[in-house]
Amino acid sequence: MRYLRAFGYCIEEAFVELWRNRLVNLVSIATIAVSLFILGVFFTVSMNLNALMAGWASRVQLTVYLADDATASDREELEQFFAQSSEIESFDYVSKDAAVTRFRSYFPELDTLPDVLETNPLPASFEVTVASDFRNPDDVRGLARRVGAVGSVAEVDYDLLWIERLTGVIELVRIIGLTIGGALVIASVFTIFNVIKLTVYGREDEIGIMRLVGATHAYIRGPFLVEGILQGGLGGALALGLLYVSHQYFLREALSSFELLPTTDWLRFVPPSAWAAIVCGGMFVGLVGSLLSVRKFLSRSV
Amino acid sequence: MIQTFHVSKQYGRDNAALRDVTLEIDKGEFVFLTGPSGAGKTTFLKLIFREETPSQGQILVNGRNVSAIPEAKIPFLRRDIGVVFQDFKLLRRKTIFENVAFVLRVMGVPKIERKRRAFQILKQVGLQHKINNYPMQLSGGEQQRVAIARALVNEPVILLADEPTGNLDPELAIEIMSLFQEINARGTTVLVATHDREMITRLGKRVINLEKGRVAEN
Ligand SMILES: Nc1ncnc2c1ncn2[C@@H]1O[C@H](COP(=O)(O)OP(=O)(O)OP(=O)(O)O)[C@@H](O)[C@H]1O
Ligand SMILES: [Mg+2]
Repeated sequence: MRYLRAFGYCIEEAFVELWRNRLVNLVSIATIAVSLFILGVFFTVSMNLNALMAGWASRVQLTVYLADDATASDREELEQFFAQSSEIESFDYVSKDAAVTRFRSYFPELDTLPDVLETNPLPASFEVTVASDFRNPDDVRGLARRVGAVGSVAEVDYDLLWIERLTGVIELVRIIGLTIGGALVIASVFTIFNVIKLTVYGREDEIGIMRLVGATHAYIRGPFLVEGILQGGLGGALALGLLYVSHQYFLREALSSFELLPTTDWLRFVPPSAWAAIVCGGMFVGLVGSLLSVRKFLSRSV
Repeated sequence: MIQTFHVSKQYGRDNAALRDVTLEIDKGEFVFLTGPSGAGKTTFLKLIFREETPSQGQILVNGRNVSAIPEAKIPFLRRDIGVVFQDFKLLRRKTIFENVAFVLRVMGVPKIERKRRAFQILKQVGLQHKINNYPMQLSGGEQQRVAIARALVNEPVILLADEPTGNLDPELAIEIMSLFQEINARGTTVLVATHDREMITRLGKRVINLEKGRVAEN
């Protein structure tokens, strides 16, 4: 109960102080908001690109063409190999006849071509779906190399171009985002540090008096820490709001101007766990800034 | 209650505010501390609630060796001691009421209780109509009475008052002194630093006279 009352005091004082110096405090809140907002933008973009890539990647298939002279036991051996490989989710056999049927349905105007050619020129194949954990360029390439080394396999075909490009873009977005965002977060900590320092300086006399009438160290520090946390939390909430608005009105516009993305319906807003992370991240930044400041400028307890 | 053994206080190199002060004030006593300006009265009070530490000697307050108290325990020593500062030391951004209630607040006294006690003591010093004013809106004498109310609100074991009637008219001064006597009658040890010879003789209490930092008369 006592601690609860002391906590109540800290919160009350912090709010009073926040309002009293609202102009200066607005600066720290804005700094935090901008930093977290920019981090959030990069996070949203890379999250969506990741989702996009996952969609494309689910269609990553290897087409394994069998040599013309492959026997039934070669085929069985290959099936066994596929079944045992953890990198492979499923596989379908497409026989030479099935290949012809498919060819006909794809190209009706060339319907007669297989007949003209007397022998069936289309090879039998396996259509192999890669397991979801392995749908990235490196694993797919490695799998293709190993499958291609099997004697009865004539050729392995796969299309990684888009995935490779997208992986590159995502990596770039992530690096830029973390660099800029990280620098801004450090700047926010520093801003909070300085704003709290000014508040401490401005209240030195009062703090001295409080000590003389029996206020403990924690009682004097508490409001400053709560103030930092409040600034950070408000900054985080503001960042979240900005992120939502810009997601609704700007991000879609910006991304739809990319030729490669036909629609932007898939563009998602960050999930609730990220809302919490943004606000808590702000609070944490605020706490660190004020803690550093209080440690440095409120160390005397007498 | 308060004991000092060969206490000296030096400010800087050759500015001795107190020299070899040894004295004892018992529990429940009412004592005047007097002497000319600069004699070391304020310094002596500061040593008791550890705003300052002695350069030499030992001080025992309420059974505690003041210079040996760890920093974290100092607030608790101060909660046992009500101090009327010579320069009042009011929190200028808090109202009169908040100033007085703050002492109770740091001790964790519940809100209703804080209100009751702060209002009661402010009434006793005649300021119940000013509780929502800020210190700057008060006259010197009114501010002094706020300082007195704050020192008394938690019924301290020891009351230290530094020139508590310096800004008050004689009638108010008498009222405040009777308030101190009331508190003293309830068990609080009272130590009042003052120049006011007339008041000292009127009350006829024990007097400690300081001269240039030494005890000249006890
Ligand atoms: N913080 C300080 N730094 C340096 N010297 C000080 C300090 N405080 C007091 N002194 C010196 O110590 C001596 C005693 O001061 P003190 O304030 O104790 O006197 P006092 O008896 O309270 O005087 P007054 O009646 O004018 O209030 C003075 O000479 C003063 O200059
Ligand atoms: Mg003095």
